[in-house]
Amino acid sequence: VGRAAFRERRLLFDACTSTGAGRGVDRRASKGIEWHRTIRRATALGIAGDVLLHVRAANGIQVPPIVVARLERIYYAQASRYAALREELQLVLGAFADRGIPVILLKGAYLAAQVYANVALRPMRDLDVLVRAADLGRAGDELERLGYRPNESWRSRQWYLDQAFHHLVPYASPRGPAIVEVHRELAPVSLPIKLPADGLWRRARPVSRPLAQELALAPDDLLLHLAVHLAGADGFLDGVRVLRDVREIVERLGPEIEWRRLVETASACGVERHAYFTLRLARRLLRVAVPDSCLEALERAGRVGHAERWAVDRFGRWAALHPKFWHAPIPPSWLAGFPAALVARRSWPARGAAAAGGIASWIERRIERRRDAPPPAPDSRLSDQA
Amino acid sequence: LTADHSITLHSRPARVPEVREHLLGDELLLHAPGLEAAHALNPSARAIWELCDGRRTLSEICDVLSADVGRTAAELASDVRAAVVELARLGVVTIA
Repeated sequence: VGRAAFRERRLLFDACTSTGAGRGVDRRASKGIEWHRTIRRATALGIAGDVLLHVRAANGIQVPPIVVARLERIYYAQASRYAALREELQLVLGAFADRGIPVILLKGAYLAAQVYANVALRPMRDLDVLVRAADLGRAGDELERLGYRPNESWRSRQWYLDQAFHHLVPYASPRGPAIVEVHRELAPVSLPIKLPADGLWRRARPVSRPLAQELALAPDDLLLHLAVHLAGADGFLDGVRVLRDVREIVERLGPEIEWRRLVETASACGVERHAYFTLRLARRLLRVAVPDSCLEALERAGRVGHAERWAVDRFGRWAALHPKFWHAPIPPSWLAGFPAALVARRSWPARGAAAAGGIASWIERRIERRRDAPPPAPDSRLSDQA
Repeated sequence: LTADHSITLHSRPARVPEVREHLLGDELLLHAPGLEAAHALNPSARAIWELCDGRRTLSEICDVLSADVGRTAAELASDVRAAVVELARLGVVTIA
């Protein structure tokens, strides 16, 4: 079982590095794979499209037709969902433009069409947009004018305002499953981190194929946003989805990325550690071409120690293929606490490093004893990613 | 919808303007606002779809494609016609 699980995990990483490279799954790597378990994991991680293309590129490997058919169903369903969400996005962006509300597209709303060359490879749950804090009220009013209704199943609309949450209450479309989240901040309020909005808006740029007058984050800000989510909010869980985004951004927008500015912004905002570990994992796990100079500068700025590096390398590899909503061998609060231990090192370098290393090795021992467990139903209250 | 028999080599198929295109690597996803279904075209169907501009006849589409695929226009005609019939059936192409 251990060897098969190892091969399955390796296949998932390979799928995320081979897309577009024409390399398919090879005979040795596919031996003994439990395909249905692999597909279930890939679907939960949002990389089933990559697995399909990886399987399609296989030469001489007998992948069961039912596996290919199931992957194709997921792949085309993701594409179809994207098309429907894109219609909603166009409606919303047009309305915001008419009211003079500037918008920056976030996450999948930007990445799927503008960065990925294949919209089925970037599944989306929600439509996330960033507006200036001063425009929040008008943006909410405009959504309601379009027929959107606040989804208060988790918290009331007022709660989001009272808590100065990083986005408004999610708004549900009357026409379908689209949920729109209007953000005022990039970093979740649960994190002691702020990516100052002024700089983000100053560096934002028009998208190449606009639906209205929407903007996109500068590529370096895009990477920092992903890093804050991966290393901060998500505790490295679901990591391969984010690392896959990092790979696509670096491959497609590489020449436009200002690596030096990324280091400066990360240092100014106190997220150099998040950026370092995210980019390091992207390079180690998905062979992303992150420049040495950038990693070295972030490592120095974040005063990253050996124990931390060791801990995150080992933990990150496991967590990258562990969906957020699946059963975990330890309570999720511990996982969320792990990056907090890294952040704590800022104030208490020695103890913080020891804590991070200790927690990670304890987690690792638990993981090694872990066996696959069936996933529980997704908890919609926690759906904060698109 | 256009009846199968009415599509000849002199027909001029045209893409329905409201249909949105989304890239799926080599394939293309077509989606018409307000419709539940979306349709994925493989690279061959995509090539035909892209030539359906309302000006070219089916015969001219076969001529253009024959230069790319190394088969004669006559050999391609039945496949191209079948593809256009299917696109018309799906409501993403109209025939003039």
